[in-house]
Amino acid sequence: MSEGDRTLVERMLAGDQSAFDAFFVAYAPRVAAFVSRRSSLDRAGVEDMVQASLIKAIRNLESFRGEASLFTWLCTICRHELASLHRKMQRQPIHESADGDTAARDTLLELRVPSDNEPQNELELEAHRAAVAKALNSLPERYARVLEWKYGDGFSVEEIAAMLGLTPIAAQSLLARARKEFKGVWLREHA
Amino acid sequence: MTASKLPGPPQDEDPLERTLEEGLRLTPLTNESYARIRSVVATEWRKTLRPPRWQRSLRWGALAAGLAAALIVAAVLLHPFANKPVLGIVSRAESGSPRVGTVVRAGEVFLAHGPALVELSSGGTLRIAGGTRLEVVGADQVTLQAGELYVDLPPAAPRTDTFAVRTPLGLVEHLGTQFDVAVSQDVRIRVREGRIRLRRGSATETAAAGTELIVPRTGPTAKHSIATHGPEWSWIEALEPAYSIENRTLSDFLQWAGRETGRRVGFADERAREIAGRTRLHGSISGMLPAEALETVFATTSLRYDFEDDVIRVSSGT
Repeated sequence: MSEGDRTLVERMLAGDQSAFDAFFVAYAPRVAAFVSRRSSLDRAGVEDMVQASLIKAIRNLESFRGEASLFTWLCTICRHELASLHRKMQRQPIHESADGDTAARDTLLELRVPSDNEPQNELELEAHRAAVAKALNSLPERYARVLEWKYGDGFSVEEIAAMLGLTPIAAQSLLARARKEFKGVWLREHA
Repeated sequence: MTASKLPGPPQDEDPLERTLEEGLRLTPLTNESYARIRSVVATEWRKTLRPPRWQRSLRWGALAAGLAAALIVAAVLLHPFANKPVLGIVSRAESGSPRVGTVVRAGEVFLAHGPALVELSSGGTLRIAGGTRLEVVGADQVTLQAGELYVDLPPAAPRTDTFAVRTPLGLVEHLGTQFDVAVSQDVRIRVREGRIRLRRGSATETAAAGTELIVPRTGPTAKHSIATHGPEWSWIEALEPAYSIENRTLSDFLQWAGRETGRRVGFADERAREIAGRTRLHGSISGMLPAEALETVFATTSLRYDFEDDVIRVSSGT
């Protein structure tokens, strides 16, 4: 899809250190955000998941053909890693733990906001995120998904179009409808 | 909550879009987390790189070695600069030009298309910023015509008492040091360790670590105090020479990290100093920036470190 992505990967395969640095700076934070929003993993868990996903990507870099964007490809790998973790956790014997962690495991792949013990301003931010998540959950799934991709993961309209099999114009139109729907829900709750 | 409390996009952006971004975009990891991930992933990346072809074919090793020796002899005999003193050899080149392994000799003009590292034949290194043009005067002297270079002559390096950088506006001689010289309209000299001497016409001036000299085309030289660490030095840290930690003590590693980051090493307690002196390191920090190497190495010890301005403070936590 992107000449830039293909070039970056080719340079990494050739051992170009600056290409690796550019890759890491551009994608590690986006993958971390992607993992956070799709799991209830704590910070250490997110770190492990980002590391595992990027290692798998690095090992399979030669298989990147550029049909999808590099970030889309990384997210596919990351989804598999999350699903694998989820299956592994489901195979573990269910028992009550003192920290009540079991319930969180059951909702691993749901859209959740990780809870941290942060200062007051962080709690405000958490409240805002929870409110946005609640509003999104009341939207049709397709609308919620494109808004998450656009504003949470930072996918471009072209990337979203490719993931949905739409033209960029159709994807732009879908996003516009999703935004309008979200606005209606948000204003009803917060006006 | 009000959106104005949060760092966000420009004011003219749609408030709804800002609401969505603030609600959906997470920054879940700390810089330390990213440093840990980066070091592991970078190690994995290097493992996947195919070694040069000559390394892959061991059965041709002896023949290749003989052939290479013959070619080197032929190249030395035929090279127009064969008898010229050698400044050093290119050991890193971010842009691929000049090539790694290029021997740099007196009389040559060196144009760095990207950042490059030259291991000096007399000991020490030159780190050369992309776009720099310099002429090699001799084994211990270069003329910096444009761009920026950083001279690092560690105290233990042999024959390091004569290295000098000529500039259009004066001659910079090192007196046991790390220093940076940049040539544009003016000449800027930054001393990170030790001292330098600037000869300008009949006048000489010395500058110690933590000093910047600005030499204008006309008028007197200006002298300022500067920090020996921080973002302005980051391009230099990114070009660090290879450093093997295998079987070195933690103290040795700390001295290296201190020089690379422009900081002194301080021990908060005697126990920390004693542990650092007897702890032997194993493994590799190849490809890591100095700060990443510190993070990675200390994760394997019982000691802790903090950056306190220009000091790496090491403590045992007792």
